[in-house]
Amino acid sequence: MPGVISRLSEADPVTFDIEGYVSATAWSREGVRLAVASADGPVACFNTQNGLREWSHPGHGLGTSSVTMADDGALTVTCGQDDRVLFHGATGSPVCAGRLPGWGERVRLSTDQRYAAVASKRAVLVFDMLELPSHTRADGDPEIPVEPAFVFDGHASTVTDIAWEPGTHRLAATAYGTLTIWRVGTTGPVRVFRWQGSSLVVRWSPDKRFLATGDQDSTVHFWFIKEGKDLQMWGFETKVLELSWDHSGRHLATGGGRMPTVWDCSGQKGPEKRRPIQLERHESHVRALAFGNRTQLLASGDADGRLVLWNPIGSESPVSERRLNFAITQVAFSPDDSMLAVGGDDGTVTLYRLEP
Amino acid sequence: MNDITATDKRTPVTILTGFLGSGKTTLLNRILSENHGKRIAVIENEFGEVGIDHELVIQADEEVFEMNNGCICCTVRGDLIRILGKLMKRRDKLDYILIETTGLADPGPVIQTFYMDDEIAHQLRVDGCVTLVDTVNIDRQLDEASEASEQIAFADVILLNKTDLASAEDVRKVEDRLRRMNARATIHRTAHAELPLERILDIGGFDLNGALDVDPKFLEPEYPFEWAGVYQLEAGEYELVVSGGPDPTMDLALLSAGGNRAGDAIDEFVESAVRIFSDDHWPAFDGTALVPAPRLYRLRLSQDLHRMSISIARSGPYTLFTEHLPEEFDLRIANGANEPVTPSMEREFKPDHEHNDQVTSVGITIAGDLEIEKIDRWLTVLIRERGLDIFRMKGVLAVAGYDRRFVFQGVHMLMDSQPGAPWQASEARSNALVFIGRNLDRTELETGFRRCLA
Repeated sequence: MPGVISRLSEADPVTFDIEGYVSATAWSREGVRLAVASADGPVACFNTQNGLREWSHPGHGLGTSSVTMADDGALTVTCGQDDRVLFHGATGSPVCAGRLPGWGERVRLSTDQRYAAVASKRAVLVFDMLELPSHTRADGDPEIPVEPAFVFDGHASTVTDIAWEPGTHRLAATAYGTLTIWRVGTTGPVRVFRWQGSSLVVRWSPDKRFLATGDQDSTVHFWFIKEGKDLQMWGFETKVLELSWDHSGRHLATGGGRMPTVWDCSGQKGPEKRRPIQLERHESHVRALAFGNRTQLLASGDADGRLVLWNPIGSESPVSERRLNFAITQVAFSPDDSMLAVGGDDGTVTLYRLEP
Repeated sequence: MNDITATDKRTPVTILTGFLGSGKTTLLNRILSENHGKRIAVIENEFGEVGIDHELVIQADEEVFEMNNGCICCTVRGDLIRILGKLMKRRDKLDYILIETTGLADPGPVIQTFYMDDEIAHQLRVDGCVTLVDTVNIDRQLDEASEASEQIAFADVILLNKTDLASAEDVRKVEDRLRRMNARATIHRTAHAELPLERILDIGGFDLNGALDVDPKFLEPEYPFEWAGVYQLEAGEYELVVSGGPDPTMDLALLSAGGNRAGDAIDEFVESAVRIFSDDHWPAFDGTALVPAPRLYRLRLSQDLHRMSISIARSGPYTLFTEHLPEEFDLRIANGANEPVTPSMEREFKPDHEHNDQVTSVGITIAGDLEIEKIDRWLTVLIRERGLDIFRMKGVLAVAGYDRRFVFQGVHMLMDSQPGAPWQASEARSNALVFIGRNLDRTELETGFRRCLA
């Protein structure tokens, strides 16, 4: 609820477990289901209303790296270290599977959920969700092989991350040396930004003005899409894997060390020559960072298990804080910001309610 | 396993390099199929052909990334960061990781990956770089491709493989050439890459506290002797006969090689002979009698024929090392009947000008204390200016005012250092440094290092 500052509820949180290290989480659009992937392989879907596990699946051999949910949780898409993308139906059994050129790094759904894009090796494979077989299949039936509708190929090195432009069918892909924008239906890239460096994550600002990347050499890059210029921020402690835009697109939160930092990107020059907001509380590296979907709440979690909830635009002091007994690897607000899922390296997922 | 590897909980990683045909695949297949009880992951290059169907054999793309940190040689392997980052999150922890590189890859970026990426450095330690060499073809490969030299330069262990397909003389020549390039590496001669795994795994090649084991003879520009011969002598009286020659003096040493086969009687004694030749001359030598003992004799020669007696108490092989070639002085050993005894084996130690390798080792040892500001400044400038050409370096230093050793090691421009073991009162404080690199200037390095003395 805009204007009201929420805190973590004092009530005991609900917890779920998955075998291994929580490598990715995804909320269903209505916030009823939460899909969780493990670096050990398994994938599971939990019902956040009754606290029960709806299904689990062995996942992807040497590990599952990415998960996303469509159709309010009736379809879950995962990829990982077995060179496959799996489309899990409502019971978890894969309805269909696509073959990838190598390990699946990331899977992302377009905003309208029409396309699922998967980054693997030097390509992005785009699957048309309308062409998938019916989701309702009997458990145990072999999954049906599916082919991508489009392949965005020819990146100079492995694609490390992808992001759909909000509301469109344009997609940004990062690889060493390039940030490439593709459009479904167009042959060849729409736009290529070049620089001699390795970006690891990419996020499109909700207002579509910027692409932000977190980089191997401890920098964050802002790409002004219309102007075609870029701005590089130095001085992070480590490589930057944690990036999150607030819902307005005005603020970007970055990790890359112990201090979450919030950049004001409003105005013509964006964050250039503006002092960012630096949030001091963590004593170890922040491994997970996420803005709320409707509010400007920011959650951060570190390797020592410290979870901090901030309202960074209003104050540099924490709103709430918890100490968990696992290293935090994921934080994700439910679509309405009423819940916060916190995943850990021991396979625990703790679900906090937020209350005014 | 030394102390540091025993306490370091990080998963060890060995880098396996070597040209095509050197036996890497054979070795990897053996490691994977051997019953060692370890959970080993193999990251093979894109052309790798490990024959065993194994979940933990992972293909990598060898993507070398430059780091934008102002250090021109800071390159890392992006594919390894991704793959290892994922593997290390798994609960079924790995006991060991082997990374195979193609013959054309420079091992530098692989090693630097373990220092440049925090996440990787926190969980994994590079244990060593093992380079396989095809003994039959390595000479040509070294002459034709700089990558081959770099793989030799980076190595902690060199497997001189396929020695069964080369003559003993060729094997020795190759070994000498490799030694001159990398005096730090341990060399094992193998056929079919067969050797106990503990010789290549968990060797602590990058441990700061590991000994600075360098074979001193290979850090010398030349051997102090030109010839060695092995004589099979029965107990009895002999004479060393020598005439005048192009030089007024000749240094020599005669060593009992009892228990060694003829072939080893030279190899095994080269190192002690180098030491003996660096000692003072045996003061009591009066020019009349020689004894088989670790003594350096200096013969003062006129144009006359000189005869020195040798009493052999026990039959067996004896090795004679001479400063100059015997034919220049008409030198021979004669038996009681004045008949020349022919050596059962001989070897010349002429300076090796056959291969003019750009990659060499330079080792410097200096007694005394260094001044910390001076050594710090010298190393900083040296690394900045010559870091590209310095592949590996290691040093154990005595710094004025510090009662512990100061140890460091480096790869290109990256350096890792810490205090080492304390100096004991009985120990003479001294400094040892080894550089392995391309186009190294021994004089320049030695002069620079000497200027750091307190």
